[in-house]
Amino acid sequence: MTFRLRIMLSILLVTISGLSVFFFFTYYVATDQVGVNYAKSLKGSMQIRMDQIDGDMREVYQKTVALSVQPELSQVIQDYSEDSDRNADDVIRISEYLRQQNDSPDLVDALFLYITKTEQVICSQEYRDIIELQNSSKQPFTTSGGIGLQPWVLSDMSGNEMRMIYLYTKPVYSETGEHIGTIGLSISERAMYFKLLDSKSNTEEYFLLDGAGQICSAGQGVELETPISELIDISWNTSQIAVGIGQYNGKKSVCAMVESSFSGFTLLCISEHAELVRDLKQTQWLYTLVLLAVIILAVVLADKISGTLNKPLKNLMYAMDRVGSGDFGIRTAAVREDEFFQLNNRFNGMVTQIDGLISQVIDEQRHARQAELNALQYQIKPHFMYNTLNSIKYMAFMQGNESLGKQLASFIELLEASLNKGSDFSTLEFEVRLIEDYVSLQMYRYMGCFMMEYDITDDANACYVPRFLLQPLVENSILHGMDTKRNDNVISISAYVEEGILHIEAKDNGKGMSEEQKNRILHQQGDTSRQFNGIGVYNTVERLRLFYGKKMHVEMQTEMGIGTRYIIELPASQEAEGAG
Amino acid sequence: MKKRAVKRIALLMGMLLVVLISGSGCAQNTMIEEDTRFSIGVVLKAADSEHWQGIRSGMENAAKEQNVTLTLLYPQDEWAEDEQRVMIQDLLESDIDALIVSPCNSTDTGWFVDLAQEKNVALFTADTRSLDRVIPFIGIDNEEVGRLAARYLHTHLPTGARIALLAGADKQGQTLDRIASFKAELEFLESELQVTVVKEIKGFSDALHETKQLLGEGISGIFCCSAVMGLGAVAAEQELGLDDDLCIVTIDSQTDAIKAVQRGTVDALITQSGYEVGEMAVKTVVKYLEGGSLDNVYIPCEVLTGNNINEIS
Repeated sequence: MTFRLRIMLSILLVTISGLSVFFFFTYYVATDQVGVNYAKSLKGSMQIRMDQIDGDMREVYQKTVALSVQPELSQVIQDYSEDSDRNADDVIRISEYLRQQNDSPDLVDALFLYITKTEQVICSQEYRDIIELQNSSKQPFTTSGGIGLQPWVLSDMSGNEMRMIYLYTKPVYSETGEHIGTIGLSISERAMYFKLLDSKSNTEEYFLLDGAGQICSAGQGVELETPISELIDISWNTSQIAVGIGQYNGKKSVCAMVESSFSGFTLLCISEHAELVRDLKQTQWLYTLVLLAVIILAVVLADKISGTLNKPLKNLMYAMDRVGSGDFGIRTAAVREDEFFQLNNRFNGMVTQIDGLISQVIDEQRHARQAELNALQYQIKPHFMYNTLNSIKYMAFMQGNESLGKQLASFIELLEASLNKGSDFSTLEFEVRLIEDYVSLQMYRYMGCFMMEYDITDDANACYVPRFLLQPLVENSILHGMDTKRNDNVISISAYVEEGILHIEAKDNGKGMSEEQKNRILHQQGDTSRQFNGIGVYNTVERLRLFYGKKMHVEMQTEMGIGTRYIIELPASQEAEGAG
Repeated sequence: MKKRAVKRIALLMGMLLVVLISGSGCAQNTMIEEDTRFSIGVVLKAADSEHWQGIRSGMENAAKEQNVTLTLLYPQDEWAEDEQRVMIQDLLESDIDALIVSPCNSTDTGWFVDLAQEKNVALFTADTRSLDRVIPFIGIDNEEVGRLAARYLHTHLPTGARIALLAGADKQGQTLDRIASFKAELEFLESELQVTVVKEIKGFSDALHETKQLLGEGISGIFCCSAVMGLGAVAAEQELGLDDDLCIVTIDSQTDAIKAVQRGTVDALITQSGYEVGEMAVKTVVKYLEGGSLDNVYIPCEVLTGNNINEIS
């Protein structure tokens, strides 16, 4: 899977999943919010309905209380109870009296007067003025304390199971405190339903529940006295107002509930959720269309974006390939100052550095090869000369020319030392002895027009230095510095150790050098075509640099007519192994 | 590498699915509930005047604001003591935390004090205090009302003038407090005003009828213990064609009484906002139920006259 493809897939994945989540959530939250907002607004209107129900209940309760303490009613009951000749006319008269007490016939369905002595209930409704109580209907009238603020919820006492009433009852006492009867005022369930619960809407359905959670008023088709829990799958807390979403008739429904503070009734409204979000559902196809359009757009954009992001990477890969094939001249370029810009810069810097290092390695290899060649050349020439000179030396001794023999012996010793293939280091003392051999040869040539001075401390003598350290310097003083017209040429070599540093000084009082000569000596290799030119000052300095790096110091001071002085400072080491 | 990518995509899609499922699950269970903190029962003396309607309104609004359930009952009138007794009993039998009563009979409150203690219901009186038992009271200081009325009439009527005091139910604390303090203040002021006290005035008609009679007896000032009575006195004065001869002092900050002060037909109106009494009563009870103390709360009252009505309004 290429980088570009991964970028494209990532963009598409993020876009599609993000949009899907957004649309799903928007849709679900919106539909849920519609339901909750609807329920919230519904609870306001439900509270008004509940207040009206409570108001009606309170009014009937207060009327019941007012009637129960009315002395006139107490008298009516006592008269009827004590009348030994009571007949139907008396009942009709009491029924008529009860009707007169009902000043709110639109609210109060009927008044019932229970006569304790006769165990009769006289009703205000003319067509059924006497009601024979069934056992279940007796309790409201025989309970001497009434039922407080909550009405009795009863099937109609006439035995009509189709009707339901809410009945407030209060006991009536005689002046002596005897319970002589009970007055009851009823509200018709149907009247209550059509007055306060009939929503006249297809989307809302109202239920009135009693304190036990049984339906005590509802629309047609709902069986009364059924526990509401059998109809709706939602557990309500007994909070005063609650709204929520539950299952009714297997459908998601918005439910709002208001509990009465007075009668203990609960008003429940259920609305089918689907009806509420029907309009919202119609926009679902629009959501899908938008999602598809955005996905197409995302594909196009992902292609463009991944191409743009991939381009610098592609360039970098090309450049790396070129570098890999040896083209260190190639460089990458980035337009924007971003991470790719930094990557390109670092790559370019790296390539430049590698290029430099490779050039350096090549130079070093070239130098090493040249040095090796030089060395081989040096080895060949001295060997040839060594063998020849040994023959000449023996010839000189055989012919009795000892002076020439000694000169040759010194020279051979010098040559032998130069051919020694052992360690790269020797003691300074050995180096001085080489100088002495070399100088004895040069003395012969220059007819003793110069002299040597040595001032070397013992600890300096014991220090190891690179072989042939001093010879090129002395040779240079003799060849370039010495004034052969004078006899007071002095070449002096001094050395001492101070604070772990070996200080070596080689100086002459010869002609000195011009800047041009000095530069040539310091920066050019020795001329190998010339005999005994030594390794050369340049080579000596280079060797020191290779051996000691920044730990050594070499300085050449020269002035025309005054002389030349070499100052060398090296780490003092009396062990051959640790000298370098 | 490919396997890892596939695993990552699968993990992402799985997380997406979980989020979607949990999101839709949340939608199923959204419930909003508002629990009321306390349930307070109230039995007023009546609801047949602006004063009592104000008390009712103040209580209902405070209950809504304090998030408490209020069950408010009242008998037909201030004399329906038996009705009020049944209502108090019924409320104490229901599940309430506190009961506020304006007793129709301030001299017989012991029975419901005991019952409330038995039911562990906090008991308060509002507007009208108990005279036989110590029950926390919220309302105006009715003794101060009597003193203010006495001082006003003493100041504005000539020495030796005849005045009357029309009072309501004889068994009610505010009636007895006002009468007693009214008389005491006149004595304190060494006033020579001659006072006739008429009790059991039930409303406008009673007041109108009684004032007519008293005017015939030559009174020049009257203190009516309710605005309804005061307006009855105004009507009597007008019916008799007397042009503001009677100095009328009354009580209750109800609209028609305030307008009567503005018109000058009522000389002085002692302020008593029914709404404020109702509101303060519920707030005091809630404060107590939240852990506050049981103290009387007196709402300040002042005398409203034609001179200061615009400033005070």
